[in-house]
Amino acid sequence: MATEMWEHFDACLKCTLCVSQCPVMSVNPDFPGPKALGPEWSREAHLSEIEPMDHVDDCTFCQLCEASCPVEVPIAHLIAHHKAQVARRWRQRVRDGLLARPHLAARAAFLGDIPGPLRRLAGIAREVRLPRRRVSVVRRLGEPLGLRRGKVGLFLDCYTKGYDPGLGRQAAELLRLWGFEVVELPPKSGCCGAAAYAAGNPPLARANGRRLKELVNPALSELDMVITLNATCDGTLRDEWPKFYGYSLDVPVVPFDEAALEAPKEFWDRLQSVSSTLVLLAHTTCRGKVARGDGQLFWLAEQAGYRGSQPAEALCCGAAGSYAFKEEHQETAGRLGAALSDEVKKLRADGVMTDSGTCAIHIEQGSGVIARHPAYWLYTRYLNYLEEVR
Amino acid sequence: MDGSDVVIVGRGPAGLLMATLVAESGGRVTIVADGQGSLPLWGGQFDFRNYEPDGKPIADPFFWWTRQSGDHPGAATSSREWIRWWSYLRQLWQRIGIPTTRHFPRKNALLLTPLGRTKPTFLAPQWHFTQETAGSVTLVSVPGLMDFQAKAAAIQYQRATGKSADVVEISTPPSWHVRWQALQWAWFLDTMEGRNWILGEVGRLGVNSDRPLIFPQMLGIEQAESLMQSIAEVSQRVVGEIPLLPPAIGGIRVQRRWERWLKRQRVRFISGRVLDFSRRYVLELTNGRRIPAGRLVLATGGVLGGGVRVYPDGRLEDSVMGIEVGRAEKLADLGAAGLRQSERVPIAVGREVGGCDPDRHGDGGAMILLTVHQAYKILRGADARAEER
Repeated sequence: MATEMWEHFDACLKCTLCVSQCPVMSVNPDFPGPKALGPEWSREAHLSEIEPMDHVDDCTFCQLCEASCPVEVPIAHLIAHHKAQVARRWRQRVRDGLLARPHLAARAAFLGDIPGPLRRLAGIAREVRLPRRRVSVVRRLGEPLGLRRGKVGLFLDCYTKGYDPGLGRQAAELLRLWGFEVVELPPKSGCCGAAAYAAGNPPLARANGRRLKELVNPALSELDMVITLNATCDGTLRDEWPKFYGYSLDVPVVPFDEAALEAPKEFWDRLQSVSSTLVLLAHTTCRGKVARGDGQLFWLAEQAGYRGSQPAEALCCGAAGSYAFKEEHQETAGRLGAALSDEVKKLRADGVMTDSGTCAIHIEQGSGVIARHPAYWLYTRYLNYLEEVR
Repeated sequence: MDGSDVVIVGRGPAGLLMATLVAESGGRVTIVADGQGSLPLWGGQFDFRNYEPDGKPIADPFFWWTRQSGDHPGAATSSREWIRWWSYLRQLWQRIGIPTTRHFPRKNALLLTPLGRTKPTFLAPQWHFTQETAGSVTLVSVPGLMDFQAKAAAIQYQRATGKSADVVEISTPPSWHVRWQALQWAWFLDTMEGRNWILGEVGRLGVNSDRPLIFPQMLGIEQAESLMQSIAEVSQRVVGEIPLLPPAIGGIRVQRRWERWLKRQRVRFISGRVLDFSRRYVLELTNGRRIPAGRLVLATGGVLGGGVRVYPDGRLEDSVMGIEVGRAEKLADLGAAGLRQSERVPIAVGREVGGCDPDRHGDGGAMILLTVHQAYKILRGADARAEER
């Protein structure tokens, strides 16, 4: 374990704020929680060889615990190192090894669903919906509405690149409409490392991240900022790379919704004039809450004229990257997702706005309504506008 | 407010109250916070003034505050202002879904502590068991709960008040784990399974007393009111809770409801630690993000933010901005620093002013109301001046 982490976990005040924020603990009475699995276990493990604790793998790596800590104990990252001590059977190792390399897993998108017997063999949750490639037609939105706003890199995460390439094009069209010049990144599929770190493999995370950095590096010098679509990648690239990976992108990393704040007034006026009356539940993913905060997606929904929309109350939907795909997490992920589905029902929402692809499919499966990225909801509403004025 | 952005640093009670005032007057608010804020660290009750300097409990805090003179912040605050500020908070909480006492409190009430003592408090959520004068009670003992020993608390209560306290014990549900503390119980009792189980337990106790039935604070986070209502129906008694040590369920309930409501008012929450506040009114975070902040309010004065840093040579520095705000010899500087706004020194709220000491005197709630409302007045004044120009 890195020595700097030793100093930090010893700083734990035992204030238990982390415990109060843990979504897994709130639905799984067997889970020992962030304080026990993070600083407490690490303190002992630092002094002598001890066994990893049961249920350490049940941590989703949402990092809400870490974000709540007043003295900056890297709780979730300590738990990731704790996970690394667990001895796993070979089948699990194969599965986890693949899921920790989502840029490679996404290349198999064309294969479609995995049949039942293979799922059992691979330890994939029986009933959970796996990602499938979405096909979407994306058209141009027209000339930029405002002044030129500089050149940005649009970071296409593994999920978007593999399963939802249309979303990337929709986001790029919106950014161009707002006056940005857009370069899509990375040129070849690459992972920031988030998936491997979450699965308890920090060395693989750093290797994946370094490979990605090399892929994007040549383009960076001429960019004003990098815009991210996925909340997890957003936090990983901006906050975790410098802190836990040992390198950084060296340009500002800005989430898509924050870039949307820069959209010209005319854009919002046009969206507000659309007659469609969809109601959305705006769910900021757990990692989005950690990386940038909360309330932004709801603000976007309101600003775009989705009247009657509401911010979601649930801390986490349970998907947590590939967490919900693993059979041992089916129950916890299901319970977390159920709370969000109840909110959809209560609001009678027509759709969910959320900033992660895997969360979206998990929410769609539970709630029965369409769950998509903010870029999708802004893009489709702007198309509505174009159709209505024609 | 004229619709321009107000950025508030900190999400404790002062930050949330400041955000509420600005949002309700039509201003756009962004809250920037590093960490969780202090609300989950205490039950959520707001104190006005609990003790005299010699430690004697105060029954009438209105009288105490208006009796103050000279440099004391009480000297400049009228009774009418206090009533307005407390009424606003009470009505706000009711709008948000945090129930308080049925009538506006005129005097301090007695709050029961986990050790079986009583202490004054002014405005508490209705979950808290408070009484005007101490009476006989029944305390509920919960297996495994380290922060509340009902038997010891009952003995202490009888000794301190002369009133009797009996103890009833509940058992444990099938999913119970020896690790369970108030938070795990609360999560369990929020589920249908937990609700049915506890109502069964209460039914088993039978109806054989009219004493209030007092639980440690653990009766759910989201469903507390309806569960307490059902327990009251089954037991035919008044039901209340005793706030415990952190993570404090009462404070968690207050924070969740308040922040949820603020989000619906379009308040945005940004997570991050502040590095600097530039001359061009931009707040810079440690991760490189830059937040435009036309007007800035620091609500970092509580237990976690550190508030004002005191240097060995007596300099006072704001711990967020690193700006020198006064001298330690002049205690009033702590207060003055909190109420001044010039180009580089933002307004600060929620910290101790003028020699008040919430830890010793129990006036934390008053500190929040006083500093936040005065800061709000300054912001409104700045708006009015800008309009004239």
